[in-house]
Amino acid sequence: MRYRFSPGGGTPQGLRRHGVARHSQQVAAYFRALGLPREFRLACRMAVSARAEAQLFELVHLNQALPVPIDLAQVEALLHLYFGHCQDLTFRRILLGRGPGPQPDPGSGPVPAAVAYLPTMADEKLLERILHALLNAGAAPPVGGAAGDAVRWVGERQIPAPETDEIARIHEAAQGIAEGKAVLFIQGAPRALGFDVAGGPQRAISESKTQRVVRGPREGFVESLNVNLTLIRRRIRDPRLRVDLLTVGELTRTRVAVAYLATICKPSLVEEAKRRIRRVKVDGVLDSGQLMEFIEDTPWTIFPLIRATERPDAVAGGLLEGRFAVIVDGSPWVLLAPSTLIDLIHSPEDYFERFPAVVLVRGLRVLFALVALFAPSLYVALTTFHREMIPTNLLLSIMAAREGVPFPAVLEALIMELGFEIIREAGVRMPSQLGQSVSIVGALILGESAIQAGIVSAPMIITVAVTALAVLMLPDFSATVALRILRFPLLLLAGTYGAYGLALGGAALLIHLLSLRSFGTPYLAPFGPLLPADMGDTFLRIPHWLQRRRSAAVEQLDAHRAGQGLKPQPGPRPGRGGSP
Amino acid sequence: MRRAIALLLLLPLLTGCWSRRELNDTALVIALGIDLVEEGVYEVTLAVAGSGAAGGGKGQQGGESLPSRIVVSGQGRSFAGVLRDIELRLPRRINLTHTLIVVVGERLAEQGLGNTLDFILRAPEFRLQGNIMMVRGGSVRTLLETEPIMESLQTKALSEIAHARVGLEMRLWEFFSARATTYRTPMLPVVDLIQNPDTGPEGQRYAAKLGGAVLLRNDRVIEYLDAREVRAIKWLRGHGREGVLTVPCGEEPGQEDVSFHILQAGRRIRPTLQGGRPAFTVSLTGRLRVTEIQCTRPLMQHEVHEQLVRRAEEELHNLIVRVIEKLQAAEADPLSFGEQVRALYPAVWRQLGERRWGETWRETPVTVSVDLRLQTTGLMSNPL
Repeated sequence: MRYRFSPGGGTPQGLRRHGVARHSQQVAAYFRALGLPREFRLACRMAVSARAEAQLFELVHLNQALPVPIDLAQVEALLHLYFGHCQDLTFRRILLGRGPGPQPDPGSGPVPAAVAYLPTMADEKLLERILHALLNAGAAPPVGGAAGDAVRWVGERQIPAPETDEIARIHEAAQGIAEGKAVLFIQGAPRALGFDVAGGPQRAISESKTQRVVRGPREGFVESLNVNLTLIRRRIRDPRLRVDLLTVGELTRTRVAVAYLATICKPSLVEEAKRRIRRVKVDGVLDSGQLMEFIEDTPWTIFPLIRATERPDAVAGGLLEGRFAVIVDGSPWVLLAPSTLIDLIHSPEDYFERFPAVVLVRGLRVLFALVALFAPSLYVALTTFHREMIPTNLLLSIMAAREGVPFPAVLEALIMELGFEIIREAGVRMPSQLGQSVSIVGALILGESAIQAGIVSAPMIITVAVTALAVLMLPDFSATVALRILRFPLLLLAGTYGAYGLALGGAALLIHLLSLRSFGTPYLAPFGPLLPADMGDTFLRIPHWLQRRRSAAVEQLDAHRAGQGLKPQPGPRPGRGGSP
Repeated sequence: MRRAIALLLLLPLLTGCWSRRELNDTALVIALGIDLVEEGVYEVTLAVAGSGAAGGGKGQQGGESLPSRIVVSGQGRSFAGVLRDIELRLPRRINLTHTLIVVVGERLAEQGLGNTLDFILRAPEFRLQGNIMMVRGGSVRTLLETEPIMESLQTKALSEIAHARVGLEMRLWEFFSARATTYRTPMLPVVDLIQNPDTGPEGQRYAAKLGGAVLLRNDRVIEYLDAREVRAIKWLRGHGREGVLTVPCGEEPGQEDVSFHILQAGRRIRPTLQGGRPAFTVSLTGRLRVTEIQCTRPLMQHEVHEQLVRRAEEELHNLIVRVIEKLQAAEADPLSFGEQVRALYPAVWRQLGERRWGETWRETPVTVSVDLRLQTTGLMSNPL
């Protein structure tokens, strides 16, 4: 159900005014009892002046120390002040304890109480169960003498929720309700009881569409922090897996979890991560990608300094290496840091596939990453500046193909690259029903017709097509973006300075890469600085039984990963004598 | 970081010997010829790659075949002057980076090259991996216009033949480095233009054949070598493989022959000193395969094939000795015998005098030994 937006929060005007008038008295009484004259005056005028109400809300919102009222009517009025008389808020009044009759101790009769919650945030079944338990509770809570204990009494005896917390401030109560809690208020009790009933529909765990593997687990993260933590915990079943929860976003109040392995990950690293996350003062964080920009070491770079993954096995692997993970509620992308450039050519699958295949594939990825970066510019540089570097027969073929092409090679390359970007971008954003038309039109325009019309030469199309495919070989999406961007400046350099320009561009790129760090880890490690111990897991992947230490690029408390002598070998044969 | 950026920004100001030129604006010279027309007047001929040069690929228009090359020539008193003159007639800039063949006319080689090839060494565009050769039996232009067999470019055809090690392969750098000394003799492979060949396109009057070679003293021809002698030269240069040795196969030498294919060939030239004078020991080794035998002798018998191999050794020995004698008679040393003396016995070399090496070489004793072995008789053992 959706309502047309109106200043009254969506309720019909008459009804609203009526409600506000009723609440106005309660709120005024509350503030009079607290002895806050300004708030009291505003509360009195609330029913007649929307401005007064807005001002009052401002004051109430800022004053987080306001206590929970003892009177249920005042609670309701205040909560409606917080939520703007929103019909979304449910204030369910109940009676605790059976009616007149034989009563067990310590209560004497039914005690009025109320449960406030947002039905849209709540798990209906859980809520029903709790209400059921409350309504069928045998005894009423002891109200009176030690009134504060009524809430604890109920919480300990009558609420079947896994977790409860006592709330003394009305602000906390309102915030809790907004975050998906239900709050129990008891008439006469100065405290309330919050319990988590957050739930509602969410996406089921499914295979990650962006990081697919042939071999290895297929589960991917979803949008729920809890589910994501479950997926990680299931893989590392040890109390040493620590999860620190933080909240980011003044309005979104997004839960952010920093997960790490206590005896492996350096505490200073986790501290630094949490410090950077706490620093973020922003209205909202909707995805981990947003948070990532706030906590990167070098904001001005096109290279991803923090790895994002949709796969729990990748995160578990990272944690085992002494990295930490940042999980943001609402995002299926989990951040993993520190990360290095070489990580971008690693796929989680690499650790599950047999190592010879992995060595081949990683070699291809590196090769084609270079192709993706340099192929078009190298083609331009060689054909327009350094013809002598092309074998004669190849040059003759290229010349024959270029005969009649009206553009200089640089421009030709730029046109083709841009054409390809069009197809790619259109293909990603477009409604999936139209997918075929883009590929047909794209293939026709860029492939066949461009050559037929003599606007572009065939070797150029081959170069650009190979480049475009090569980019897709990289398992990390943000890396492909970096390569795509870098191609254009390199192309321009090659078009103006030839191979010399390419060397310049390459040198500048290298200098830049060398200056980057990810949470203190040099981005080019283990090559710059050279860490020979890490070479087993770079372009290569040595067998697991040889990889006895954790990555040296990421510093750990304990680098020891596997025991000695794990190489499979025949053991002593039982039942037969032999030399010891 | 800031300093790094500043340095990088300064780098484009450095100079270099390149410039941007689109492929569409270049005339790619694939062969270059030079000949003498009359005293002091040279004719320079360029074979420029045309749109059809790529071979398999069809031109834009399709259908009608495009010329694979365009031959242009001009006359003048200097190489550079003629090039400039030709460029005035071509709509594109001449590009010499892919000149894989330089052809010298017979008349020019006879009269003396002089410094006509200075341009080649001086131009930064020129690559010295190209082949150099001399054309005989026709003009340079005729050779460059000759339609080759199985290749679209004469240049490619000639360099393929040279490369296949059938003929003599002489790279520009080797030719020029021999010319730069007084004691080494430059050699030029010879391309013969054969009239009325049975191969080649219909109606073509000439075909090119890579045959012998010429020896040059300083800049002009002093001696011709035929194809057989070139074989010996190639073996002495270490390129003996792939050749064929043919000797009589009968019990007594007669009409019938046996041919050996040379599977592996080695050579070792060793200078020694005999009473203060240099002397050389040349030992050749090789492994043979029987390619053809016309007699019906049992090859598998040790004595039989031993006899045949001895005959081959003798044949090769005689050839090598004859060629060395011919070289000595001409006081020509294209095989760098002198170089070895210079490197190993510098004192003797100084005493002999670099300039008088020719005279010394004429008198130098050369011992030739040949050791051939039969490796296989091919797929058959005894003949049928």
